[in-house]
Amino acid sequence: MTRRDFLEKAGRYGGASFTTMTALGLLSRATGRGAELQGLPSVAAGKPGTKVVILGAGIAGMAAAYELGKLGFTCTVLEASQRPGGRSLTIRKGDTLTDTLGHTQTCAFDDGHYFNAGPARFPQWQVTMDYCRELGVAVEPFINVNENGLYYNEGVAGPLAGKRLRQREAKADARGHIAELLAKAVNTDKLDQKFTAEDKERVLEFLRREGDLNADTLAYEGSSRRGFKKWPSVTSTGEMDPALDLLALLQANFSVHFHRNNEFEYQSALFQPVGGMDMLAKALFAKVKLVVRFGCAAQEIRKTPTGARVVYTEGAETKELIADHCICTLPPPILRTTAHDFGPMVKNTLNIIPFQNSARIGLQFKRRFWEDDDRIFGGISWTNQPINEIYYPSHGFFQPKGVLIGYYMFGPPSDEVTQLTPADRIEYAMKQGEKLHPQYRAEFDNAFSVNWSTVPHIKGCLSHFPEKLTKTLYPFLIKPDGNLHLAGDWASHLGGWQAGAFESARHVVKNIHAKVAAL
Amino acid sequence: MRLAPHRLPPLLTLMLLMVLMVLMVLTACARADSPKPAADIDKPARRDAELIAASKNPATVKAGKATYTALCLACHGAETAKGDSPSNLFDPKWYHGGRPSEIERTVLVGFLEKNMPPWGEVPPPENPPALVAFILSQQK
Ligand SMILES: Cc1cc2nc3c(=O)[nH]c(=O)nc-3n(C[C@H](O)[C@H](O)[C@H](O)COP(=O)(O)OP(=O)(O)OC[C@H]3O[C@@H](n4cnc5c(N)ncnc54)[C@H](O)[C@@H]3O)c2cc1C
Ligand code: HEC
Repeated sequence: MTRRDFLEKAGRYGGASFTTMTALGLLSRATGRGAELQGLPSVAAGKPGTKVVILGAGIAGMAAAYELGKLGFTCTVLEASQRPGGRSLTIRKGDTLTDTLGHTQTCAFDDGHYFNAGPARFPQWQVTMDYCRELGVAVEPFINVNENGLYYNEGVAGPLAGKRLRQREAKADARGHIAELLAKAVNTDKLDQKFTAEDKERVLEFLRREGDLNADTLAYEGSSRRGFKKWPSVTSTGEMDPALDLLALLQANFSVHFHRNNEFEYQSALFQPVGGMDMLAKALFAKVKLVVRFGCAAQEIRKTPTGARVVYTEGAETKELIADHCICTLPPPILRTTAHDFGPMVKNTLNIIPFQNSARIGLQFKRRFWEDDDRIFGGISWTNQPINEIYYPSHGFFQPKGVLIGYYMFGPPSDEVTQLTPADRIEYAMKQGEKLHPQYRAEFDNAFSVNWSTVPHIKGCLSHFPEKLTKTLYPFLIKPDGNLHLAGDWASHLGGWQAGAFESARHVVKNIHAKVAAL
Repeated sequence: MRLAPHRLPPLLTLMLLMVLMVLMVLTACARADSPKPAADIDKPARRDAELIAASKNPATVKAGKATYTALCLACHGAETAKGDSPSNLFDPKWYHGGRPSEIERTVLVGFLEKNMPPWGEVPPPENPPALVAFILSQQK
């Protein structure tokens, strides 16, 4: 019997815990792209410096408690709200949210349906994927690109204004035309680069494939890649519509939508936990629940000569907690208005973190018309209307009902809907969404909307640290300030991703471990 | 020559250094003939006139746009007058005062409780006026 066999058998009979096995490196542990925690020695129980208070039970706070726990530290997590997960928020039947403006909504989706009001997906390369594996969270593909999804831009120049197009039509035609232009330029030697005859043939071969060009004339004459008016079958080879005109495509400005899926964060493949994004937060919580205290809101974060002191409220009572280290994961809008001893440069940096608003709405429909009528199974449709995008669910295909995300907006449009009542937000989503799907009104069932700048204890969505300030101000966020530490996705170069929260937590855990190990 | 009697404590020196570095980075794109810093912000009428004049200077507007893209675009979006929201800087409606000097004050002081940062603390002094010049240049 091998060591692994033994442990697996023992594990089955309750002899060896999952954590023992991961500690022995027999089950894979999350490996970040930054701080490496694997192989760090545990600290001695009760050793000075090993008591840590963590503010916030979002991904960053819980990940820090989880990783520090593995290393022998004693943690307490104070969480102002009554649930773990923070921005990782999945809305299901019966869930209630009262925003800071006083609007209360209760979710009336059918059983089994959900709406990820916050994170919805993660790419395969992020550490989030590792934590799903380590914590036993089942994942399934998140369909980010669907060529059958729609593009709809209105108020633009040219004949395609206000027309619904399948993404494949716009993409195949644009690529074809551009490849043709390039092929012709190569052929007339009008390019800067001097090609040998052989190189030239290689470039042309690339462009023929890239644009599906006519092999002889190098013309783009349409392509089956753009799909069919009548799809191939036994009796038909398929009938195509004529290709769209290049200038018309450029006027309609569809290219603003093309590039999104090319960005490294959005490239295939992406994943989501089965059953809702908060399944990950819940699995993490299960590991640290003994040390999390809900309804405890930090009011003051203080440095002491040897560590940290946190004043917090629990109900009507004001209490104090003294520890060797404090990890603060409060979102910047909350931290800015909390009394703290972080230095003046940290304070300036916190003040200018562009923690922006965003708004999302989950719309439940009585029928999955996007699948039934439009044959769009998952993916995203794009528009230049303020609603921006419509996400179709990547799960629950063929069920009678479905919940889609009817808008995902940033900037002024998100601030605009934030001022609306929940009922008016539905109308906002309807009026624009029905231009892509005329079935909207007839099939509408109910809705739930979240404006992140008004979510209690969060008050914003995410931030990408201004690139211009990464050399100057950003370093203040990731350096310990005495025994006070900041963690959160906004204190990483993966702002807006749970991976940023995980990586940031790992970075802080490593710093604290190093400091204590040196004692 | 004797050393200056008051030497800055090392931490403060470091902080000043950092601020200087920020200034250097940010000024790089905003030098182009910006209007003078908001020294006489208490003389609104004169300041309004200066900022309006600046908004007609293409180099200043260009510098302002670059800073806008780097620091403001995420929350305030691209130049469109569509929609009514306090964070739309390109519609005709102002929620916190629409005089050029008032806009400049907003940029410098911010409203942290509403997630609008106080930029006066960070970029070099000629940046906010250039930003205001850019915003004004976009008003229809
Ligand atoms: C709309 C939206 C879409 C997103 N999309 C994705 C996505 O597709 N994929 C992805 O991976 N990520 C996505 N993200 C980002 C992801 O949600 C975050 O990166 C991550 O959840 C942040 O975790 P955190 O622990 O840093 O912060 P948070 O989750 O904000 O945790 C902070 C915690 O502090 C608590 N708190 C606040 N005040 C106090 C106080 N005074 N005392 C104690 N506790 C307090 C809060 O209640 C909260 O629980 C999205 C976020 C949003 C909002
Ligand atoms: C973190 C997001 C954020 C960033 C970054 C940001 N702002 Fe703002 N700003 C806001 C919000 C939100 C408001 C609206 C506040 C309210 O609700 O009244 C606002 C309001 C304003 C206003 C007042 C508008 C009015 O109608 O009176 C001005 C001017 C302004 N911002 C300029 C700027 C400039 C210039 C920058 C870049 C240097 C900037 N802002 C960066 C969030 C931001």
